[in-house]
Amino acid sequence: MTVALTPDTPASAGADSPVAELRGVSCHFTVRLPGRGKGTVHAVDDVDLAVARGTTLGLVGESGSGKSTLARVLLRLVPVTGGRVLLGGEDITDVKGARLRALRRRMQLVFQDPYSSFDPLATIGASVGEALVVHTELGRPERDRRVAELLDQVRLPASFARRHPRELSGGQLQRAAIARALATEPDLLALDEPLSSLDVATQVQMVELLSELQGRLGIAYLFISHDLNLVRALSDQVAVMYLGRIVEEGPVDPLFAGANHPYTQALLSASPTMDPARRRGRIVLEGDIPSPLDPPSGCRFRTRCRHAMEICATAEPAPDNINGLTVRCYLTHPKDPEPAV
Amino acid sequence: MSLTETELPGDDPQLLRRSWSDHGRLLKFLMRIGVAISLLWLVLVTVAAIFAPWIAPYDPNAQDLSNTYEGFSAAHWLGTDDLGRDVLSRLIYGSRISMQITFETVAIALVLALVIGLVAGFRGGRTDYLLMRGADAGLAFPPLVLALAVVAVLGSGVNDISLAFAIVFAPGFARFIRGQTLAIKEESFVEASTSIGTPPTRIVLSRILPNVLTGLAVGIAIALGAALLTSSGLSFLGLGPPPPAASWGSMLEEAYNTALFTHPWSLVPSGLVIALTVLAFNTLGDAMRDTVSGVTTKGRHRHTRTQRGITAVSRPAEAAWTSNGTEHEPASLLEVRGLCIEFDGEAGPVRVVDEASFDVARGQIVGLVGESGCGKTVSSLSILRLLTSPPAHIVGGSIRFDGRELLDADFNDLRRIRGREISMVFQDPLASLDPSFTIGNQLQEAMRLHEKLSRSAARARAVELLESVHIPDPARRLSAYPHQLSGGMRQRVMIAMALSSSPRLLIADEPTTALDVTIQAQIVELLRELRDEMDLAVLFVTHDLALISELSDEVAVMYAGEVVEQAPTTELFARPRHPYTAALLAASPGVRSSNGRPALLTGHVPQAGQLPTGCRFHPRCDFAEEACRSESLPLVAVSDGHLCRCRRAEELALPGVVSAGTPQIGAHAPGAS
Repeated sequence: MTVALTPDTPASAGADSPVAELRGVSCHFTVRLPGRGKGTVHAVDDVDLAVARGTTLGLVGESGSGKSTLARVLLRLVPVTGGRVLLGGEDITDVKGARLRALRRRMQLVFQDPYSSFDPLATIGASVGEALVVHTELGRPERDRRVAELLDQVRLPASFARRHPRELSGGQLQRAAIARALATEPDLLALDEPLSSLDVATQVQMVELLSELQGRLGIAYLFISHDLNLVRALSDQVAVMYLGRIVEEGPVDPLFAGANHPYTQALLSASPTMDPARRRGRIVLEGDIPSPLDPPSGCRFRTRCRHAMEICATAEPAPDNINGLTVRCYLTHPKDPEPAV
Repeated sequence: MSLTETELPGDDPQLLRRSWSDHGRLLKFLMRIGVAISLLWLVLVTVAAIFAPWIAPYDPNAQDLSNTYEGFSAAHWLGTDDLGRDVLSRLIYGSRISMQITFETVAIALVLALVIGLVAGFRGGRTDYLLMRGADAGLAFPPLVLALAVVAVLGSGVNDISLAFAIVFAPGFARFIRGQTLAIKEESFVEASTSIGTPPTRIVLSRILPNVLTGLAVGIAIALGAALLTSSGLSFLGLGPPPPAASWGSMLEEAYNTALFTHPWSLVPSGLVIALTVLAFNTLGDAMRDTVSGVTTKGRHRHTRTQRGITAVSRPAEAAWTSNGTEHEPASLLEVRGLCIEFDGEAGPVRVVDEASFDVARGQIVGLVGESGCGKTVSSLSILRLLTSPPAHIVGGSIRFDGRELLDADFNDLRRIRGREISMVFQDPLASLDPSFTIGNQLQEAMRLHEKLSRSAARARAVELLESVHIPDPARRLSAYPHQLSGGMRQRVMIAMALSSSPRLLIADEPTTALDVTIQAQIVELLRELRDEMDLAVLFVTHDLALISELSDEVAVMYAGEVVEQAPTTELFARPRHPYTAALLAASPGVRSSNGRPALLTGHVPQAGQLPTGCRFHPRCDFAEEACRSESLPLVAVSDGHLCRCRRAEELALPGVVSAGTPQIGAHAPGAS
């Protein structure tokens, strides 16, 4: 009801398949630990996720939960160590080199820190137009015209093409970053905490811009944020991530109205609110998220969960469908103590 | 929000705390003259080298044995040498060989090093390992010995010498370039290029190389000086270009061998030229380093006497204590009245905080809120006089802490207050902690600085402090280094450190902005607990209204350097009287207007120095009238304890936060009161 932005899906082939999909995807990497040999970081573990065409999937969780890595797995920017990555129904898990570079125009990324995501020496025009140089045969004048169009789409004056990143504010740079991502006319835009370095007022303007672009261009967003208010304002679907796993997932309104997983509930209740009525019964989580080097057995949230039971340490709970939400928790799934597959 | 914004003082405490002194400024001034002289000298030398045949008055090798060791004369400005050759002409011709070797050396070294460094840094892994071990082997030889060996193998022609030196210089350069490449590779703009689908070679050439070269400029200037010095040194040892060709080093050598005791003057011209040229290269290098690191100050400075380590105060004598009319908190711990702060800008002083007034009472949490660039951070830093002068100057008002006027305090007074009675916590705990010392070490040092404690007592107190901020297993955490702790833990350590001297006021500048909501909730709970149990007063600077509504007892809203509204928290959120406050409330993502989305607050905070006339908010205000555009207003009481700076405060009925499940913002309706 809040985001009524799902446009008509394009009537092209594969219209009903998700624009991007993860099937049992894992991303583990080996790190050297000083004095302790090697360790394996379980950044993303056995994740199933799909982003539908022209919609927004919000991905929330604390820092260290693997949200950014998950986006980079989906965009094939980091190695996939298990499972399949699909783009528009096509398996792209093993695509490499020039073919992968050609695929990249269909999926783009916007970063958290607007300042470090632009080459300080290049003009905004050069950065926004980089994809046009790489992927098209356009000549200089056509490129400049297209860059001006792209800047206009994000409400920046065309004259900004000649400026350098340091001459723009954070909000303006983040608009330019979106323009750069739109240059290849992607189907999917991964937005990695794009608003967290911005002011409240600027955030609101960006939310507005992103919704408008989605309505007009029919792009799908993977919107990563730890700010639940922003996720709520932008998303159709929300996935909650904890320590490399998705613990709860579903449409935005049921999830915000009646989350089932204790972690989702804690996240929701920790978010500051101006309304004193909503502050009652706040759940304050103890401690920090554990290290992904050595995740707890069974349900990974159990070490901070106030409902933790013996069974939680045994195996990861199987997904259940409750009120339209997919939940992995023994609280809502008490009758099945068998290890999930 | 344009060109000049980054140069003007914003809310970046890092920038504001960068320190320089009077002494440094003088040095910088000399430095600029030095740059001009250096450039002039190098141009002179280069022109001499290029046009030697036309400029030199004599053939450099023309001997006149009847006229050896002649002093200055009209015919020979710098005299003649042991064979009666004109010294000036030989110097001019000598600059050809010396400068050619210098520039060739650095150019060849740079090309070699760029290839090695870029490939090693970008490829990483085994390639990196092999290339760098090779470079290490090169670095392990003493440079002069290595150069001698290479010259012995290659011969001593000008190009051979350049190549020899280049081989000596390249490994050091290569290491530096590799380091830069590794660092730049981690920047997100490189990942951005990768995600666009740009091929790796293009990324290296168009993204990494230019950035590496910018960082290398300083190194190049210094290397030019070093190359000249080394080549002269080698010539002095007799391994320069064969005689009779003149180079500066060989001239020095000839003078040294033939006339050290009989005509010592003859060593001076060549020696001086070498020294001046090396000095010129180094001066340029230093100036470039300063420019790159942004230390150079732009704009005019006023000439007030400033004291190191504290913000300069130059307020009019009569502008001391004035009550702001409402004596609702007569005995506040911190009373800020009419605070005015200016920064030196390019076109003279710019006022960034104007007549700001607020109070913090004992055991009270006061929020200072507003968008970035509103002057909240500057105000909070000025309390302990932490802004550096120049560019900052406090030009008016009063800051009283427990009755003492902080603006009259000298450095020693402030040192006793800083960290002991008033502590600060900043947004980025990692930047405020020393990475090379353990948490325990830093905590105990902070304590022992202020009170005499034995080692064991300090340790016990440190454990106690970590416990008080709910750090689990505190005794073990004492031996942890900052990087081993999570962001939330680090911020707790910072708070523990700030609490170590049992301060009465804690100034917290966006302490939770970098943290997760779950951790933020923990810190908020902690601050509340400290307020209740230790009667701690807190000034909390943030742009997060939802957070401040939960935490604080009193809120001051700042806009464009002014406090525009101030009220008890519940009152402010329920009945905002200033349109800016109402707009901020409506724009908060947690609040939804009738269309389901937060309301837009359009436009930007005006930059200091470009403020609109009249009410500073009027260009963004939905309720602005004609009078708002011309006349500014003081902060006046609109009800008990509620101050507002708006001429329409009485007549507007601005919507506040309605408590009931989801907050709702009603329709804007200017109604009669």
